[in-house]
Amino acid sequence: MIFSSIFFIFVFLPVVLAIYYLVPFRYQLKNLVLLLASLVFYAWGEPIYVILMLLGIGINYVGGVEIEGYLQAGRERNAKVACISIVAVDLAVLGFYKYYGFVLENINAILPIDIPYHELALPIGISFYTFQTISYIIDVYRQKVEAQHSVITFGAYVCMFPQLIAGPIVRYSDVEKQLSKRTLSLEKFGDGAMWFLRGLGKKVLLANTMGSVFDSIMALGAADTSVLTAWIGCFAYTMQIYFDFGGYSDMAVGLGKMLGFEFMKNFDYPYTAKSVTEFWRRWHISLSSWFKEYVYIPLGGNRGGTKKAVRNLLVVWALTGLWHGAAWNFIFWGLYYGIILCVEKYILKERLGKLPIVCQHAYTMLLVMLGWVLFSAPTLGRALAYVGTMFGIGGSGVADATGLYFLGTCLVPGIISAILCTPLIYRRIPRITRAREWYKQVAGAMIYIGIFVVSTAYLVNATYNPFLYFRF
Amino acid sequence: MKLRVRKMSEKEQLRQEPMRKKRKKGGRLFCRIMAAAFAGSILLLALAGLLLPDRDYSEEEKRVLASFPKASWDGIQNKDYMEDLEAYVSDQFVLRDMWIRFKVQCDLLMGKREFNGVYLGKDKYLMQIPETPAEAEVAKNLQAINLFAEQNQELRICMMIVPNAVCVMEDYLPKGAPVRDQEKDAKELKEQLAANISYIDVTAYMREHVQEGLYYKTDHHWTSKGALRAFEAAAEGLGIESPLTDYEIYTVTNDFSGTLSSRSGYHKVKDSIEVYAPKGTEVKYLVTDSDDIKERPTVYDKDALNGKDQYQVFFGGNHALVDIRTTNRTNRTLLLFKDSYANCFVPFLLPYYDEIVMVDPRYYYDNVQMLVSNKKVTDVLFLYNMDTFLNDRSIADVLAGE
Repeated sequence: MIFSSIFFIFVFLPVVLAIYYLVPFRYQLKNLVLLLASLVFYAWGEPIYVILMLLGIGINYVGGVEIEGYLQAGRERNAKVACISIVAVDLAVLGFYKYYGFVLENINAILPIDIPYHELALPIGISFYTFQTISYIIDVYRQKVEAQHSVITFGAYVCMFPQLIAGPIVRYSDVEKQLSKRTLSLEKFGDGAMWFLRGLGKKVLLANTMGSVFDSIMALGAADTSVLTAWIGCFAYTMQIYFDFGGYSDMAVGLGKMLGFEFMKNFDYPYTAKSVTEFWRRWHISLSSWFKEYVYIPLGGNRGGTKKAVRNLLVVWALTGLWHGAAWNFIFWGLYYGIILCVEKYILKERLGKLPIVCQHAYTMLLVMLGWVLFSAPTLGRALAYVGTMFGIGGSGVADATGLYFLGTCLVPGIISAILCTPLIYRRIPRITRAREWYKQVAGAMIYIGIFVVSTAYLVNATYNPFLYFRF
Repeated sequence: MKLRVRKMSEKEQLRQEPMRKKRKKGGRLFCRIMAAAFAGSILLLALAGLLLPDRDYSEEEKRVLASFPKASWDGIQNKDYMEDLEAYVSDQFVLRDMWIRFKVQCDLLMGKREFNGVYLGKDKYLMQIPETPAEAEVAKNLQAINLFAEQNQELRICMMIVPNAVCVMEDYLPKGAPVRDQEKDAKELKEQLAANISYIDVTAYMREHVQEGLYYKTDHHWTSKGALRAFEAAAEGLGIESPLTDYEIYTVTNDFSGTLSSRSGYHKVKDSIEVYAPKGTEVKYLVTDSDDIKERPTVYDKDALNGKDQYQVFFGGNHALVDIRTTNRTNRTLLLFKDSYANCFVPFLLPYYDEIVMVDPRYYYDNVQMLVSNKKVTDVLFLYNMDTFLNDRSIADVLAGE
């Protein structure tokens, strides 16, 4: 089930919220409702793999309690072994379902053998919830958090439906307290509704619109793509991926608030970054901070000299790429960023900051957009060919009628998208919604209701409503 | 002066108030309205959906709407049940038609000119975007057609693949909108045909008459006028000498809303369907088809005008086999392999053949060679529109049929 669907908004959500609010205010009961709702939510899309998830919950629940027991008994070694083995099990399950086909395909390609295999369907959201359970196990071992002794609460944490299929990766330490103590109020619900509608609008109105432009452009042959068309396509995808992913995160934040949770923000106006390093501090924050905390720093971070730090960065970024999907273009995409980050860190250093601001933005956006070409292309060859077209190699000239057609169709949504990538409007919203005058607040609410109405219209006749994270 | 001072101090005071407190107080009403409006509108629409009766059929979308699915263990395991339930909720959503119209309106406002595979062109012309064909299927069909031609050297075999609106009405497309080059397709088809098949290209002639309304605005078919112009261009190639030029024109409906309106959700225009009766001929004929063996003296189905698809006024839609026996004595029998474009074209052919046999390969499973000998066929015509022909998956099977 995806959030941006009529069924979720008008059937699943009201039923779940009604039960959730009606059960007596004991967090165990609320958590039980949350757990059951999340299992239904997951089973809706993965009726078989929900068993896999239940197993995962069981193993990590027992593991957490066990590690804590060892630590309390002073048996450090046993705790370490338990921690490593449970993380290994989590990774093995993730690896098996996500990378089995990819690994065998490459082995078959390299070695003169042919191991038969058939590609397994990837359980949706497995990368997100596995990373959550790993963070929990490691944090218990590091004694950053206490083990969760209620299997219901733990289960509710792992498969909480707002962040289950498209993040953010909520770390246990961030919600530990909220799991046993959180407040529900009319105001918080309304705030959540605002966040949800903001995300819904981003996904349905902007991401889908830009996505359909991108898909139409990709459907053209290379020979019919001019430089102009290629750039519009690249721009359209850049907008699509941000508003899609950012929209999901906003919806998750909103749903979380309705259930009484506060999640950390996952996107912080990434396209306003002035360097690629800054971009990654603002893009999918929960993922990059996860890798920093659980891979980069344990590898030694930047403490072992430049050589080691570069190695660590490249390892982390290759893994980050691989996390996005089991395919070479994702690995190259990760390494592409690893290399850029190394260059920024060790070669450019402060020099970048001395350029005019406009140049810094242009530099960052250029690299990010080229990165998205790599990310979206089915193969590396196609990506390179597309980049070639963007710079006038192999296309149909600088601009043609087709390019102008696409410019016309995505001019209005494109400009709106570009503006909404920046804090320009968002910064002004609180002046209306939090104004002292009542009529301004009413007007603010009207804007969001308007977004809701239009989004609903687009969902009722959803001829194009893709889910981008099926490979994550 | 005093007033001014007081105002200043008020402002100062405001500024000194702790930010958080002010915000919380200020946004409370907003949050409450949001909560009430969000929960209220969801409940209202959900309840209305529960209370209002389900619809079986959507007139605007021209399709059967999903009904409440039956739960089964298998259905749940393979997700069919979930998908059906989601389709049900979406199809039966309150005021579905209104939402769709509203969406199209918003799209138009945003500058969008493509709706679900349909372009909205000049003069409110809706034009279906041709699909990208599966090359292998096209090659297979052509091979079968060439083989058929080889085995039937004594027949006059013609192929007329009619370009779609996007090609003939190029100038009506949204400026620069990308479409498949059907002229190139036609050229490639021509090159691949066996020597004894003559390819009839009507594109240029139709383009000359493009302002006459050769295609429906709301439907993917050509109009009777379009068929007439194509007939004029094709008559010589079909071996029809001195074709009739005078017709009585009857408008049978003025509120035709076709497949493209349904598909795009754009309902701002209606079409007329016209029927052409040739003057200066006494020809009479009897029609039977594989779905109705009762002989009738007309190719038109009046009842279709009250039905879901008024284009079915021609022959009552597609049938596996239609047989028309006329009172002509020309010693010519035409075997026609066709799609629905032929349905409004065949009336123009009636005065020139003793018998016309229409085969729709999508529904026909019998032996074609038998038909050729039994009916003493003299002429064969393949009549399709380009989009259907390039995406057809049945011609080869029918021609190869035992």
